[in-house]
Amino acid sequence: MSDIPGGPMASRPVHFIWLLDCSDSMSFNGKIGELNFAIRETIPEMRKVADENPAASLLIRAITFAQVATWHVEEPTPVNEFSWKDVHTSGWTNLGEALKLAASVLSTPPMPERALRPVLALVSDGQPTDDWRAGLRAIDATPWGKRAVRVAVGIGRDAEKSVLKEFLANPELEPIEAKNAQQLTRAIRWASTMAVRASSTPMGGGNDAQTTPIKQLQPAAQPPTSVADDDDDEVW
Amino acid sequence: MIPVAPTPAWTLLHGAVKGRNKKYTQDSSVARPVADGHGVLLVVADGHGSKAHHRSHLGSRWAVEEFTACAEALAEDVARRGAGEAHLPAVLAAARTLPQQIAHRWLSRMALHEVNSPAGGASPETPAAGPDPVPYGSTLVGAVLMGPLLLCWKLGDGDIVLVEESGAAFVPLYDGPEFGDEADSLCQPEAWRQMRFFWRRLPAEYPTAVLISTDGLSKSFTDHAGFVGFAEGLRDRARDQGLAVVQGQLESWLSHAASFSGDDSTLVGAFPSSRYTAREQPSAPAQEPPPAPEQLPAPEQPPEQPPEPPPVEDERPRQEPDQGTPHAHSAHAPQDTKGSPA
Repeated sequence: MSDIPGGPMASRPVHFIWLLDCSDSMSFNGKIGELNFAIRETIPEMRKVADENPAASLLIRAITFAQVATWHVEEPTPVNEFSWKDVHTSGWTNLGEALKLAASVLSTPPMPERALRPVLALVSDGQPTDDWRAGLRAIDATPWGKRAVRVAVGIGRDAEKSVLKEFLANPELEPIEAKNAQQLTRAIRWASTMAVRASSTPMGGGNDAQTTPIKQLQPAAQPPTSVADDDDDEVW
Repeated sequence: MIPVAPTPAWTLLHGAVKGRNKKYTQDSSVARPVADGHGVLLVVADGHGSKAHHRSHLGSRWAVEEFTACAEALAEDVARRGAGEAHLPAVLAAARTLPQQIAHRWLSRMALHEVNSPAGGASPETPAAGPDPVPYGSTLVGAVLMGPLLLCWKLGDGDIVLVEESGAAFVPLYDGPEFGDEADSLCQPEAWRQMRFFWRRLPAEYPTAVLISTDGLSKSFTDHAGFVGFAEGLRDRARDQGLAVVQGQLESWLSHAASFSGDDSTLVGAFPSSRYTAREQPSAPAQEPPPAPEQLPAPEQPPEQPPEPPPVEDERPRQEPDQGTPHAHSAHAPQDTKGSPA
């Protein structure tokens, strides 16, 4: 026990937020079931990444969006206590509403004064049915939202790649495409583990995200354009 | 020639620890007297340390070395010409040129190193447009104390804390809550434009301690108030137990901090020797247990001098009491050139 003067100490949190498309189209060809499986499968990987970096506390939340956007996991949950309850499909693809919901927790408070960059992981198989750009603006208007590490996974050929790319807000980054269950599992694993690593990577070169060289902003977050070479069957 | 205003002697504090799970440190630091003992210099630099900045241990070392060279020259100039009111504008003008000097010298060393040993390896078929400073990125926070005149420079994260006699801490050049690990850096274009300058005349009648640290320390606290509390608590320990005791505990405190931030943690500090070096009796409540015998000064005897802290140097008193002219601005009115080109 140290007698160090001053206030309490703690590892800085990494807030990880899943943004999951649960529109009706996700029920076709078992996509939603595969998504549930992939997220459940990746939890041990996320725990491993968290263990590699004891200076970061990984906290997970999840938002689903369909007819409405709602918190599927509202309380920031330490990865070691995190378990996955299946999500289900219904209705439209109100991405904008989901982004606004995420934006509501990306200011300080409720974000702590000291934290590592949050991670926003978007998974979608279609086109937004609401004003998604308004949601994106809401994210970008928050201090933590505009600095967030962002990853996007597009499921199947109908995924609106331009929307996912605009969400990434980085011309050098591409959404990850998943055309079958194996690719989706790999994409989810990559998105969750690499994004957490990128969040806890120190950056130099300025505190203005608009002027900071891109390669410095996300040094470890360059996603593969394809997550698998050997599983290229196009199911979705 | 007006001599430098009489200077309180400073006792230096210096501690540095490597971050948990790191192979080597990317922090560099110096705390030492300058201008033949007329002043002291404090500086820390924090190499960014990630894969993209894999030579930042060199960058931070060069940052400290070049700051030291430039600040020493400035300190010697101040010692020669004096730091009275008449010379203050010239001193401050010279101080404001330091960022560009430091950045130029740092970039020159980086370029020379890159020519001889490119960070990305030699590729004669596709020669680079120029040396890339990104692998060497580092922050820099430094200060020079000449008599009562405090001059500070800051690029990127890291903290300067002034703890006054009252125990209250003031954090010049503090930007508010940090967002992730973003930091201005010597590796960014025209880095000197982001290096900020602060000066103050420290009141002779209220001795002020100056602490400078890398962000590995401050980011281990849950909030800024906790870090400021650390600075105030350190100062209280120095007052109550003596600086030698604080120096003896400093690295264990920094190690404890590093276990939370995961980062290298470095702290340098300067305390007015006349106020802090001698051990003083704590103003403890009567019900507390009495201090150990070795902590009790003999009645009616001068306070016992603690042993010198091994890693620091002590600038001894050399002059009469301070007769420096109070600055037109209040000692509590910081001069901050934030955002302006240096």
